[in-house]
Amino acid sequence: MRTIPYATDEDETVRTQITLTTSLKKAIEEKATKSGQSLSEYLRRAASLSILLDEQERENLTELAQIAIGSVDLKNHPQWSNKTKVTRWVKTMRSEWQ
Amino acid sequence: MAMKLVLPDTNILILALSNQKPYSSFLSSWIIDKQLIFSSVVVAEFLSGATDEEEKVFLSLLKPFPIIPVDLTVAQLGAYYRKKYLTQKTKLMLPDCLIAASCKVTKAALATADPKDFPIKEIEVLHLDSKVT
Repeated sequence: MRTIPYATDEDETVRTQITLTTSLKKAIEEKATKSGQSLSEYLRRAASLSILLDEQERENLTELAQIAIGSVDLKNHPQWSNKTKVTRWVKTMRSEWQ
Repeated sequence: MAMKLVLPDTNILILALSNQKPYSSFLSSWIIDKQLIFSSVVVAEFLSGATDEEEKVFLSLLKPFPIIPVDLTVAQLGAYYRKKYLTQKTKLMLPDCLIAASCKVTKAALATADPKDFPIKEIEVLHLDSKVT
């Protein structure tokens, strides 16, 4: 299981200024109050989760890239064995539209 | 600032997916950085040459990325490019025009192994062979 980074009690906090829309601020305040958190705590947690999701997505995409690259076996496609042959194959197909 | 979208031409996809350098490294970066966008023309061309197994992997590659259909906007713009360049005595192939139109409407750069087929000034064409790392 993953832990939420950047939101530990030991980490030093710094004061910062952000701009929110009125409706978003209201929604955050409602949610934060319900869960007994301050606005800052709520936003720190939201930002940490966002970073975590980005990192997870990047890991998934890295895995996808590893699966995709090399998935075409040139033994099945002598017509794709180099750049010249590939560009010729594509061009021939496109010329059929004429 | 968001990273630039890249639309790979069929030739780039084939070269990259068959692990031919430097195209495979470029494609890998575009996947990981979520920069990819596909043209339905390119998808059809690739699938018409792929085996069943290759099709399966390719379809999983498409999942996280947008696929641009040949809708009315793309069709009109593609036809405009074809006519415009024909009057300048440059005969462009219609699939090339449709791919270029997809790039234009999505503001994506085109990655192709054959840049001379895309003399269209309205789009950005990446010259990958001169970017070998």
